[in-house]
Amino acid sequence: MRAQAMRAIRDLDVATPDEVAEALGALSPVEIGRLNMIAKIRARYAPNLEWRELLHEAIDKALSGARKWPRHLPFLVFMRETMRSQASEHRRKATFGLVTTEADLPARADGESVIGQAPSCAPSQERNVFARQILDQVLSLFADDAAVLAVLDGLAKGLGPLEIQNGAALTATQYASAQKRIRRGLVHAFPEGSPL
Amino acid sequence: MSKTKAVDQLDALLAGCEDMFLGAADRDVPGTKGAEVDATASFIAFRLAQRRLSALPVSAERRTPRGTAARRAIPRDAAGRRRLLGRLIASRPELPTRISMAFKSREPHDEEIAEMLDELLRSEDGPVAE
Repeated sequence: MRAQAMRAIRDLDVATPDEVAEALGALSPVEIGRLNMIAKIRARYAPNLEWRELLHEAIDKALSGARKWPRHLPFLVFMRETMRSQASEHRRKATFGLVTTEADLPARADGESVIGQAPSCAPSQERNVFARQILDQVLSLFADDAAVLAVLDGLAKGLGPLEIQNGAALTATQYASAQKRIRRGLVHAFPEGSPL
Repeated sequence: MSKTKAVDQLDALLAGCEDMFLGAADRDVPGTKGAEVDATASFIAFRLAQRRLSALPVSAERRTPRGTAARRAIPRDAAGRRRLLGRLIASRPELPTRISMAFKSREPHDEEIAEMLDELLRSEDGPVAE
């Protein structure tokens, strides 16, 4: 009874497929432009994933209800999170292949888990090397712009705008100007019609 | 940047860049009038049309000759059909070669375009009850 009630409450917190369809149908060209750009940024860093494929898959998952839209999130933020999760999953599969669960592994005679004996640091190191390469690629787009590099460095550390401005001694205007240059740089890196 | 946890740094950096596009003023969002926006809008319109078709009651489908429901989604005018096919080709890399290459070697005739759209939408619809 309590579980049913909790499920009912959870269902109220997420949008229905009709609401998702309505939100998708109401997207303006500017909002679609934002989604396209986000897909390009995410897909660029998931090996062999084309940005349209990522975006289309996110739209399909949202429409089918495979991904639930929490009502408290703006629709574009929800779509961004959906693409983020898919790209991450794709990157993981591309890096490590298909997942093998413990149930797929042969049992040891002494009953010990095989996973407990497996080294765990290698995949983590590999992921870090891959991520480091990508970070360097992004930074190299702005190699000559100290203010932009300071902003990107702050973002990578998870800092907010004020912390970044204070740390890099940037005024609000300089910060906004750096953001514009970052946007332009990314657009330049992924021009209209490019495959990525 | 610290050399530890590059994965987390990358995720934070990408999220920060995405936020710049989510939070940018409309005039600062690039390519809002380009073909890529059109292609995404077409994909969304196509999926919504499919969704509406699939929501039709079965009895109505049964009264409809095979493919008629899908053909209703095709514009009546030749220019509209040509535009729809162009957008579908731009947004759907997985289309059959015959369709995806339609504009590559020569301009297809209006009848060919109508036929390709019909084929495409019918295959998307799946089998319809007779």
